[in-house]
Amino acid sequence: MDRKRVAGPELSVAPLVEYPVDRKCWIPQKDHRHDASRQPEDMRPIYLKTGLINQANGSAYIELEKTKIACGVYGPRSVKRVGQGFSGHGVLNCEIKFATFSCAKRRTNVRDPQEKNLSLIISQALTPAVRLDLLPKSAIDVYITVLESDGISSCLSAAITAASAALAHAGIEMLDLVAACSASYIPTGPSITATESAGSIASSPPQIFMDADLEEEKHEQGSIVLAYMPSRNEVTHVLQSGKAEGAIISQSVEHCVEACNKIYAVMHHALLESITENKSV
Amino acid sequence: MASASTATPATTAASPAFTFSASTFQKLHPAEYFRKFVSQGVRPDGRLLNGFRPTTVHHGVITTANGSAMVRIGGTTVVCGVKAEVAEPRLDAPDQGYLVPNVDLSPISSSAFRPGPPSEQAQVVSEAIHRVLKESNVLDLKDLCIEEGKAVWSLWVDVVCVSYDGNIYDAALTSVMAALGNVRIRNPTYEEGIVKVSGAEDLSDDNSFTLKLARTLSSATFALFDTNLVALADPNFAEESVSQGRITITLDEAGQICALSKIGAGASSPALLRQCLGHARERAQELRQLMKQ
Amino acid sequence: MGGSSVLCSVVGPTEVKIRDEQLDKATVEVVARPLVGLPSVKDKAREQNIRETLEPILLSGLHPRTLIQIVVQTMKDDGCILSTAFNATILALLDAGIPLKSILGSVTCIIDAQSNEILLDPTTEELAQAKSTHVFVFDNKSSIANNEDIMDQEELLANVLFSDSTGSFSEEEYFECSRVCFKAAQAVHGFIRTAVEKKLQKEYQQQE
Repeated sequence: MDRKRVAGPELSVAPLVEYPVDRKCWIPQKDHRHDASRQPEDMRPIYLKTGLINQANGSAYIELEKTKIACGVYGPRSVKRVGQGFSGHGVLNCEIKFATFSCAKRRTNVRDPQEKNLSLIISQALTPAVRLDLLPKSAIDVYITVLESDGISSCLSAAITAASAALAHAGIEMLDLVAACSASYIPTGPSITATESAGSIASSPPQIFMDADLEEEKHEQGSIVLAYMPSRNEVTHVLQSGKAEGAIISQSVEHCVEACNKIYAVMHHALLESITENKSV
Repeated sequence: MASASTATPATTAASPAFTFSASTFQKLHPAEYFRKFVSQGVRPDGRLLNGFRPTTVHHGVITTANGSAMVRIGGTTVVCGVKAEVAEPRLDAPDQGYLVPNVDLSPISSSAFRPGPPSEQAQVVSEAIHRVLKESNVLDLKDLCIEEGKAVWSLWVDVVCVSYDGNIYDAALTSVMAALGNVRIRNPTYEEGIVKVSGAEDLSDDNSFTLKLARTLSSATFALFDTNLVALADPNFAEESVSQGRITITLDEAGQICALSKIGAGASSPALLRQCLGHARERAQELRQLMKQ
Repeated sequence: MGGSSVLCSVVGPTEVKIRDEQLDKATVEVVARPLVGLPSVKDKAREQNIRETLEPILLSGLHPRTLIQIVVQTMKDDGCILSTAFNATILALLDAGIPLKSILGSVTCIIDAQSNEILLDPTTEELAQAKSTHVFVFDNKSSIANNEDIMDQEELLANVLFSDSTGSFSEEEYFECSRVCFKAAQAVHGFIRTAVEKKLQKEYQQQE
């Protein structure tokens, strides 16, 4: 039991949801997305703003419709730990935390394995871009709080984008901004509704839906998250999960690169805006 | 910020021996820097001693929560989300639900907070909110009963501090009250140990219910500075770190006091308390307007 | 105090962890322990209350870079634990010979929900019936001034060191409670004085 928080009941569960019989469920079809106004290659509109946390060295807030993520960067600070010896390279610590109310099911306050895993991925995606060789004996802390999540892959990519914008806002030297984007392979057509046998699913190639939301993610057979430095044309991290043919993967990488270029423009704009705002004050 | 223009009285008031800039002075002697301002009746950010920072309240910002609100008081931003879950009631109160408020001062919001278990400050704020909600009977816990002795609602009221710039209690309490105000829970049915709710798309009064709040609380915090006990309304982070104590007053809409605490900073006179009460009443009026959506 | 008792120990000035060291004054650490079980958030809140009230009273500048540790253990609980803890702490500090600016005395009172009367030093049963609960701490500086007997100015002199009230009450009720508790605090100060005198007498006798 947690003695450092106001104690509630030891065990509590979400109630069982009983859906009405006539409930209209979203069924993936070709070129038909959960959000009907979106095309398969469309992303959700991005709202990105830097500099909302005034105690932080750099900060960013990103919103993709329902997904809301805040990020704060602290540092570079000196590493106090003795005994590790001298290190010519700085360290980038990333920590992502989901707010307890951020998902459909209530999350715990304790750091769970998923958060640890995502933290690792984010730091792997950002480290190649940051000039850590210029920051010996120091550490940079990147804290990310997910206020609301609508799909894990899109949440991860938004977190990387926000963290990179926050690092730039903190004035930490980087090779380039890192933009990240996600795509899901969703089997479309009659195969999924007719039978559940594996053979029939594979019969029609899945369609690539960019920046899938939670409802679409439930139907996916695989997904990819790509972190990319647009002006250097270099990829810093690829996370591919699930089953997909090589052709589909390379096609979705191309799609993601294209989308990252668009995200890059948004990041660029947000950073420029924060500078002009600072000047006018 | 406006520090460039308002910083001049500090440097001119200081003896000519000081040849460094105002910002250096602030870093070397934060308390003395502050004293110079307060003696002139203003604060470094340009506010008067009893001035509160601009405040905004947004309702229902989180769709995955049953109720939510985002509150900004100056540079402090908190998000409160309420999640309703089903739990077994306590043996000594079989018809009462749970209301569990917790404040998370996450490391994202300030360099003063470290990751890990909640700090003393977070625990004290959580407990203060828990106590004021309980002692002033804001919510009748019997309303949260599903089946007596078997199942009740447990409301997890979690406040996440996104950006910290002082006065967390006021921000957290405001967000908790605003979030509780827009909580909507689907009507439950109890059948053989299982609680079910309907999954209909749209929520209306037919298939869901809202909470009946007995009163709306609004609070005002004052930082006590120095031995002559100047009360500064709505302290920011820098003011909090140089202050020695604080007065927190929580009022309901009828003007009754629901909680009053004065801690630290030597003895303070009843006159000072009365003065703070007056400012707190004005502030409560203002906050109630903001909370009305 | 009545059915409640709190044991308080003071250790210090002693060595301090480098992390908590303050260059110009002593670090005050309060550890509050409940009657049963492990400490929870309630005890943390109590720790902060006691620590922040004592800090301005202690002449901590005399012992820079040291630690004064205060442990408050609840032994019996029959209402007003916080007041009992305050009074136990000040007695323990006097006993330890830690230099203080003044002496504090703490009193709890409630306003009864039915009769609307102010009851001092309530028991657990009475607390359950309360409309509001008030804890006050006064120092003996203001009580000395009060001995000059100017009743009209009493309110002006009732300088409150710590106050914590919950429930539902009006401004007038609050100040009425403050007045009643202030008078009661004089008795607490008197008790502390006799307790210390007795103890000193005993020590003298033992020396002879």
